[in-house]
Amino acid sequence: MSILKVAYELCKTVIKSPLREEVSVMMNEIKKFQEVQIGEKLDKYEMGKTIRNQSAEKANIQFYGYLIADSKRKEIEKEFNRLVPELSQEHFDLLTKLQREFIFIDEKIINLLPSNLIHRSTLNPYSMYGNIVTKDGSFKSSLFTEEQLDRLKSSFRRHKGFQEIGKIPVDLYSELNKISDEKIENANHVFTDRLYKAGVMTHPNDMLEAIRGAKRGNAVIPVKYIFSLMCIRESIHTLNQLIYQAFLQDKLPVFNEDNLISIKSSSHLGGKGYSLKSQYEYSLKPRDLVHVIDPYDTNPFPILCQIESATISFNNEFGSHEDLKLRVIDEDLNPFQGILESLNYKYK
Amino acid sequence: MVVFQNLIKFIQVIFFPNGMKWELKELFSIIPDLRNDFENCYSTNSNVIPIEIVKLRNRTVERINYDECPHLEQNPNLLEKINEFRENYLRPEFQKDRVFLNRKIKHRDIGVYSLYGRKFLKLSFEKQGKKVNLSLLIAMYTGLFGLGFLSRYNPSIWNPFIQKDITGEKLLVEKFLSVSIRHIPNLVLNFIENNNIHFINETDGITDLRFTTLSEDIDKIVKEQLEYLLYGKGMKYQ
Repeated sequence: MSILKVAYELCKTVIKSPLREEVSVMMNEIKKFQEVQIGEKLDKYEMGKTIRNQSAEKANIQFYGYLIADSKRKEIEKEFNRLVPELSQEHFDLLTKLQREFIFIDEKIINLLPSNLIHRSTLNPYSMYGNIVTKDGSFKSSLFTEEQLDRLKSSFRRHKGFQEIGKIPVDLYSELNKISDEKIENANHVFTDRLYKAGVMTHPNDMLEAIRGAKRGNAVIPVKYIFSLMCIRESIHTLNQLIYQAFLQDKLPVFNEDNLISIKSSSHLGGKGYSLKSQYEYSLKPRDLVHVIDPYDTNPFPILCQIESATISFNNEFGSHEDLKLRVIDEDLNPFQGILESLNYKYK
Repeated sequence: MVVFQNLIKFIQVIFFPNGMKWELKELFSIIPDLRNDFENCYSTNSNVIPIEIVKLRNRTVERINYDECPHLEQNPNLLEKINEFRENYLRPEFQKDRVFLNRKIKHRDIGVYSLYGRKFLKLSFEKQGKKVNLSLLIAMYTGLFGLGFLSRYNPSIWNPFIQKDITGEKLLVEKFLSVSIRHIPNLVLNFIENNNIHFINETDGITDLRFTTLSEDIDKIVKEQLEYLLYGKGMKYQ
């Protein structure tokens, strides 16, 4: 079973879980809470858009964003000269519990990296956001069964990133281990940044040059290793986002012939992308996941995509619409599916 | 042979519901070129909604202005009476002065056109509990047949109407005849050619802004230029 299918099954479990109701109540209260605590008259329209929520959502790290925003409350207050409400203990505990669930699931996947490679922490999608919630060895998932998590683990074993790492000769591990976590994270950051800045319809030209250079200079293995780590980390992030959205939505937002004004698609080194123009229907932010049913495609199944940018235009002369750029997520939950294929190298 | 083939094709697609009574007034109500005279004569709304097509640089939007169709403001459900509306248009966007219609990607043109090329959306009729969509060509033929029958076999009704009508309906009938003379051959040609052919220099009801720079275009250019300068993303404008 593919990672995507296993992830959808986990989402179904989340939707049926009693924890979901608690989360829904909490999220409503978090937004309502601010109105009471701030003590200022807020326009009703602005209520849900306070600085703390914006900061939390902008970080794109699911529930953890609220914990980060809460920890940086004083800094936000100082910077924006506004009062920012503190999370209640009850909400803090629930958010921590949810974050532990994510860490627990992620650890299962991260541990698939061969034990004699040292770069586990680079696979953690939360690694650059501090340690507000740390790994708890005694934690047991209240959401998913061991069988479900085993299925997830075995599906991730077939992830192209792990497959590529598996092809690297073991005697080269010591060389790879000489690269520090920091350098790997920096390289990941530079590559993902390049890919995001190039947009969804093309790939960054300098990246293509880097790949060609790596091939010429016989540096394919370290580059492929770094790309593999980057793709696995992105897949873990996508999995977390999918589970997060299952807590908040019954169905992913869908773009199909009932709301699309125009659609263009592109395939390139970075993967596949869509540029859409749709009727304004959903309030979306970057890295939210959506489904696209391309009316020009003979495949009637929804394609999982990640929002890269969403721009809403309101106009009383020509009507409103939303411009969206989407990156297609593959069966491995990887938004950069073309990257690993780009380094076609035969290991001796 | 080609004419015969087209005739067979035409007979296969025309639809005329049997066993239903039709009034001339109903037939006139769906003819776009009679719309203003119809509404003046009968003081009631016709069954066609005028559309303004706005062509923008990267999309086309259709809009219905309330000043041209005030009854739509009071009754937004009217759009549901348009045959195949949901199949061809996205959810209408109702704003203060007008309604915006976005076409679906695989949209089929369900509009009817006036002699001046203005697009209208035609409302269907409710007959014997069924939604009936009458084509413009059939409406014209039926109207002509009705008028021919009336003048030939009921001169006692027809002659006083021609000589003494003070309601203005006679003028509407005259306009119907002149529109039919001009429009029927055009509709048949459209059918044979499978195209909307207009014998006019300037089309009515189309605002072409594809080559006009709007404020939203300027915003987009500035944003893209900034992205190019800051991140080297996208294209540089010359």
